[in-house]
Amino acid sequence: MKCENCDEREATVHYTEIEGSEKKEIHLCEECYRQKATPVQKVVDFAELLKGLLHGTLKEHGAAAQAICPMCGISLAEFRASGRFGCPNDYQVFQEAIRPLLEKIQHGARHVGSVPSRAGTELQRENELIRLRRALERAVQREEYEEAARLRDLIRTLAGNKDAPNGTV
Amino acid sequence: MHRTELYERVGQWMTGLGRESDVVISSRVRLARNAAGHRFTSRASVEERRELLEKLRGAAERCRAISDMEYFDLEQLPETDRQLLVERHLISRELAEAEGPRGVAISGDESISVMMNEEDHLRMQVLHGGFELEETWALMSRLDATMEKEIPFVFDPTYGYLTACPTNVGTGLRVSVMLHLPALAMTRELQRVFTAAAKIDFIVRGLYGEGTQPHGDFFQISNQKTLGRSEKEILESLNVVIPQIVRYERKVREAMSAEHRRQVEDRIWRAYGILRNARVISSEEALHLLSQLRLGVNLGIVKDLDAPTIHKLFVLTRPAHLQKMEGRALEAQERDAARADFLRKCFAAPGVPPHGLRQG
Repeated sequence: MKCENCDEREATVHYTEIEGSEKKEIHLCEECYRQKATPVQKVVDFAELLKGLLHGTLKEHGAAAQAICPMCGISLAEFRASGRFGCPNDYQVFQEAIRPLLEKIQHGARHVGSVPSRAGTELQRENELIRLRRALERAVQREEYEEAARLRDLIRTLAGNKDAPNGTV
Repeated sequence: MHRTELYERVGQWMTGLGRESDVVISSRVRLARNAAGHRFTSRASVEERRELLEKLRGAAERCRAISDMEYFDLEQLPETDRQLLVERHLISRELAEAEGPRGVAISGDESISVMMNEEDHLRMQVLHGGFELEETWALMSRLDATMEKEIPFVFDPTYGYLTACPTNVGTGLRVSVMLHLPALAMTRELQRVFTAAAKIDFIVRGLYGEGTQPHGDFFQISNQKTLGRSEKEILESLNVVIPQIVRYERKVREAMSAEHRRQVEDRIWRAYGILRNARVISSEEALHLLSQLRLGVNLGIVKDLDAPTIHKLFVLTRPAHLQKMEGRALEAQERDAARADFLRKCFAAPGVPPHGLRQG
């Protein structure tokens, strides 16, 4: 039997295709089968999908797109371009813009899973640490070493016992 | 690398053991976590990332649940070795290809891997052979609880565990099951299965995760959503879907070998023939043929091989593993020749496990 696709080579692959209630015998050669049967033509690239969604969801937030996180310094536009946040505080700063996004890509916008056993984290202190660490980075870039040293001390003090920069407890 | 060279070992998932292992290759759970008081990895300065890495590494090493952890400094590790870790599913391609301070701690049996300074500060993974979601999750819960005592994780009452990308926020949990579906793939029923899976929020990917094309009939099915569902619900959804796909695959295998026995046997023996005789073979072709051979073993057509041997060959014939075995860098063409030589050597002595095969 010849392959029913190319009508040249011998058909070596035989199978039944069911479309609704209709049954159909298929006879193909190896080569045509391979071309035809490649499963999953396109694997969903989630990052790409997200970028598309971001564009759709965020474009109406023209003014909000100019907002900048006071802690990590990222703008909504930067988030839109990369699909990545700069720090945890962005979830608050860009709340209005990301809520509809979360509704779309997630199952609602409220966590229902497990909660850390540790007592409530200290949000203010954590945000201040992020701001100081960014300030430190800029001081180093500008070669303001005295300022950098001052900031390192501040970070060490603020991080305290729980969160010492060098892992010293 | 230290101790026994990694490429000579057999990871837990490679043993071919575990429930439903005729169809399910492995079960994996992954948690994304970030340390409080820091910017996410992509925004943190080199100094900050180095400070984080120190902290994370220290925490992982103090973890008693994972006391046999071995640490790899990925900033120092050569590219082939990093690629080797990717081929063993111990680090992501992103982490392998990133720059700057980053690392991974891996348990002796390779079932646990703690990636540091990935897209999130911590990406913790537990990987087991077969369909073993309960076991992998139980181990992960212990690991998470232990790490949490050392590192305060960023947690928000509304959004849960905060992550760099909003696709991981909430539980930070991604559960993935790797399936071998050669029969479904042959009958084109697969597209239907995947369309149904996508409708109920599952992602289908290839062998090496995000963006990879399926090769050799291997497919990874994962939950897409991490927020708005509890960990238990996410695990349960896979516990419902996976057995259905497994049953479907088995049914088609049975029907196929009953109705088209001769053609099925022909395919499998031809695959075996090529693997035993080829002088040049690409990693893609090897994977495709080994996939056929694995089906042959599971259908009882090939009797002189077992699943663990084939699982080892899946990994050992990948580019980085071949180069480690050869002890030098190989161009693509040289690799294809070395791969064919290696496979012939393995099959010349059937029943002898191919691992530990050293080249002078």
